[in-house]
Amino acid sequence: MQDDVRSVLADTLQLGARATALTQESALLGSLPELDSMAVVAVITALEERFGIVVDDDEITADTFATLGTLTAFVESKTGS
Amino acid sequence: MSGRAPLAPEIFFLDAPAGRRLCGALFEARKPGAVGRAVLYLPPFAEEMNRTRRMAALAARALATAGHPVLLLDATGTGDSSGDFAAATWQLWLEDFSVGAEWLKLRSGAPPVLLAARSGALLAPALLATGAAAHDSLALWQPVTSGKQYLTQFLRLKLASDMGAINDTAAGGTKALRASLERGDRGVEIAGYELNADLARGLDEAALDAASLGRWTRLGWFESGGSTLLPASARLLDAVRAAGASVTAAAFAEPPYWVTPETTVAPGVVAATCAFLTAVS
Repeated sequence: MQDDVRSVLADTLQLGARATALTQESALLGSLPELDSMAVVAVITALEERFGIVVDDDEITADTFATLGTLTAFVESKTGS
Repeated sequence: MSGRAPLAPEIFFLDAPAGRRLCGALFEARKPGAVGRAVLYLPPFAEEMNRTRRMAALAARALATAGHPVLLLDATGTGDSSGDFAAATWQLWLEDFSVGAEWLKLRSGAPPVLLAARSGALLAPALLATGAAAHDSLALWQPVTSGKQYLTQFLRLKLASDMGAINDTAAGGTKALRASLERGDRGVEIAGYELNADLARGLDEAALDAASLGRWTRLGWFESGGSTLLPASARLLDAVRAAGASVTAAAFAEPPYWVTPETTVAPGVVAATCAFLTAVS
């Protein structure tokens, strides 16, 4: 699952080789320069499409997007996996 | 035409109703001999329009080189056209692009073919209905098919931009933002764009389906950001084929140019678009 989430980030943000360096603890928000508000919305949309989930407004928080690990945990909680 | 028209577009202003002045960039056909049909570009919304600009210019140059004049028009409140973004409504934008289409029709002798990017695609059916646009071919880039969904994503920008400052969403979320727009509250400002309630409503109500897309004879659908079409796109296009249109669809593992903060382009999308539009002159 973490690999799938990493690949969504890689594709949406065009991270290239930097994507493979992302680990569970890698900070996303505030750390990836590509992650502006348009990119955040694009990532949310891509996650919804890829995993068939619906993200609620109150889930669009800094905590969700803190690290690759928190984002993965979030997607896992929505897919029940 | 004798000689070659310059590579740079001609920048000029068109008069639109109620004293509006629309800035256009015309890429003249550069091919000696017969001139192909003119193309009118329907741009994306807000910041996506800015991020897609280079793609639009690339495609315009390529099409012009292949003999097709291309008009890139800034609608009211966007680019260098008159008016604030806050004054822009869906109806005004339809009028603006109709003005552009009529101008191309007068100049080239036939209604222009539409090339629509992202939410620009949502304007296409209404333009077709006015007779301003050609009905034989329509080219679409990463089209937005649900204005409602797209508006939600746009409203989410406000929530996302608040994430950095506080560990909380903007009070009320997207529902409250929609309600605020309905009431005509001033100050619904999202990512630097003040959204007029009539623009939001028009966007909210706009959609593309097989019936509306099937009114064209040929449809070109081009995606980037992955080498396979989005599942929802593939399903829609099957329905469009069933509705009688011939469909050319392709997806490219190239950058999502409409969203990347730094300017990117998708050359495969440009090439496929040109091939599609030049196939029928």
